Amino acid sequence: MLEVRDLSKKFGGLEVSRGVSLDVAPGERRVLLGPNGAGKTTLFNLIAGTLKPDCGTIRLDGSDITGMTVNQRARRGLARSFQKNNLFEGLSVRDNLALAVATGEGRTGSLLACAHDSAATLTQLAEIAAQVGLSAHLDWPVAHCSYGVRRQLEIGLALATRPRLLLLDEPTSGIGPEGVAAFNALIASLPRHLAMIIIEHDLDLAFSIADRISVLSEGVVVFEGTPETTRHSRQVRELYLGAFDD
Amino acid sequence: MFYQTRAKNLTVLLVLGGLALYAVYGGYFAREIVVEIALLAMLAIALDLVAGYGGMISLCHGALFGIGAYLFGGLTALVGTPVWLATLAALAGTALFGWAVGAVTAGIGGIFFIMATLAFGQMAYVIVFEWRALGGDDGLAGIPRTDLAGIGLDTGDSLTFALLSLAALALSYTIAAIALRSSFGRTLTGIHANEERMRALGLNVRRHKAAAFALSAAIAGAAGLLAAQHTQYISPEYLVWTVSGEALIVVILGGIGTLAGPLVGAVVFVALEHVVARFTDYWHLVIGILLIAAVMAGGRGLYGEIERLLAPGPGTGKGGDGA
Ligand SMILES: Nc1ncnc2c1ncn2[C@@H]1O[C@H](COP(=O)(O)OP(=O)(O)OP(=O)(O)O)[C@@H](O)[C@H]1O
Ligand SMILES: [Mg+2]
Repeated sequence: MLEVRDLSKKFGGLEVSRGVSLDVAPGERRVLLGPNGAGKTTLFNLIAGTLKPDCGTIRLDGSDITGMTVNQRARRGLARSFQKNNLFEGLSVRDNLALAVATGEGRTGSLLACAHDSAATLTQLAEIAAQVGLSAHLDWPVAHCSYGVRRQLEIGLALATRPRLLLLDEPTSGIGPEGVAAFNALIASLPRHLAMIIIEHDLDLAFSIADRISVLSEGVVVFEGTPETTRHSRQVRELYLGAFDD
Repeated sequence: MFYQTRAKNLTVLLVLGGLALYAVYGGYFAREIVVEIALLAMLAIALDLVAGYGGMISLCHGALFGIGAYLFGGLTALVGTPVWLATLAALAGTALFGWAVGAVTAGIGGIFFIMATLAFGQMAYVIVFEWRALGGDDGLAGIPRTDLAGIGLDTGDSLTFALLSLAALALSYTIAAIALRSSFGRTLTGIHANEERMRALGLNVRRHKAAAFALSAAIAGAAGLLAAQHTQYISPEYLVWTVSGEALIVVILGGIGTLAGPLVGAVVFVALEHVVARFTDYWHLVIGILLIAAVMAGGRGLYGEIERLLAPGPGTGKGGDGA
């Protein structure tokens, strides 16, 4: 599904990605761990196309997407959520989701019809809203929503394009234990053919949702394995010293 | 998001109806004013489409107006192209120029975007000014009006031309409203609200901005070619950047991102220009004070006040539909 080979990225003299390689299988759920500043978000930006790598290649379903723009990659089934909420601020939750659904379907160009009001869009919108727990908030202006609701919408926007590969950047940051439980349930409810990479700091959550775990440190993948082997890895334990014990 | 609300319906109908009555019962001078308002309102609608709903504050709309006028004037007066063909060519040519402006400036934000559109406008101005065949500084005369004798209309008559200008304004508003209500317009509003997110969702933002600019340019060009028919004479004055500035003043005064506001703005702007100028040379000062008041009152301009009167409630009186 996704093959990342030897990606490197420098910001001035700072090497933020140093030869990162990563393979994600179709339907795989990969959790990306790593301390602050390890280069996790930068790796997402490289995969999504927001940043161009200095060298290395990215393949999606076998084809090289390294030279493609952000929107071309999205059209090929890649979706992402942002570490910092990145919503359509002046609009309602409904209009936010409708934009995402219609854009995901490529229905953006008609000068006469409005895809946002079509039955197909409304059905999908309702489905996504139910999945991320926003059914009761559809008419709210985003600006009036609580942080937790906005965080759910951030994920909803990424899901709404019906991606095949989903990148979630710290989806549970700042939402409290109830939110974490809801997120866990959401991931469990998503179709198994959807591949994901999730940046997560909560280790318990990581172990419960991941098929495999990669650990990034100082721009290098220092460990990769199943949740079970990760749990017992000395390397990981040193990075997250005191964060968990067994 | 744009909705053709009851307040918008009423505003548009009141403005159009009022102007039509003024043209019918006023004299020649009144009809000239009605044409002036109608064409300025068309230009302002074109600008509001990209500025209010797309977030692209353009300072080249005067030039688009002028390009429409010169394409039509040049083709009819110099080449002898039939009016209907010259009209289509002027619309297509202005749209093409607008498309190019939109495509080139799509990656530029903020003040640099404004400066880039200004540069495009100045470029068009210089070309028209220096092109000897177009008459340069002296302008171009002998431009015909559309011949509608076939359906019993004499476009040489001042009342007929005033009413036709109002019809063109109504058509422009309708086209803009339909476009804004469509997937295309919703997407444009999405770009205004969060361009990065639209890209992440899979939208080719540059292509969309260019298309929006082309549509806007076609409406501005239509206003320009009607202005050329109206005076039957054009000069590079049309393309001077202050025309773009005036259009922007009209949009902000009337209510940016409201679509109906530009009609109100155009009425007030032209009325002040003629009425206040009778008493004092400082009518720009009056416009300036009104503009400041419009911005201070929440940025929805005169239309925002109308909306508050017609349909009071939450969500009115603050910001444009596009924000
Ligand atoms: N656009 C940029 N320009 C310069 N430096 C950057 C840029 N983006 C990130 N960095 C730097 O690169 C390093 C890695 O940043 P990145 O955001 O990828 O880390 P992260 O692993 O996502 O961290 P966190 O857990 O805090 O989100 C940091 O030192 C950061 O300051
Ligand atoms: Mg990060």
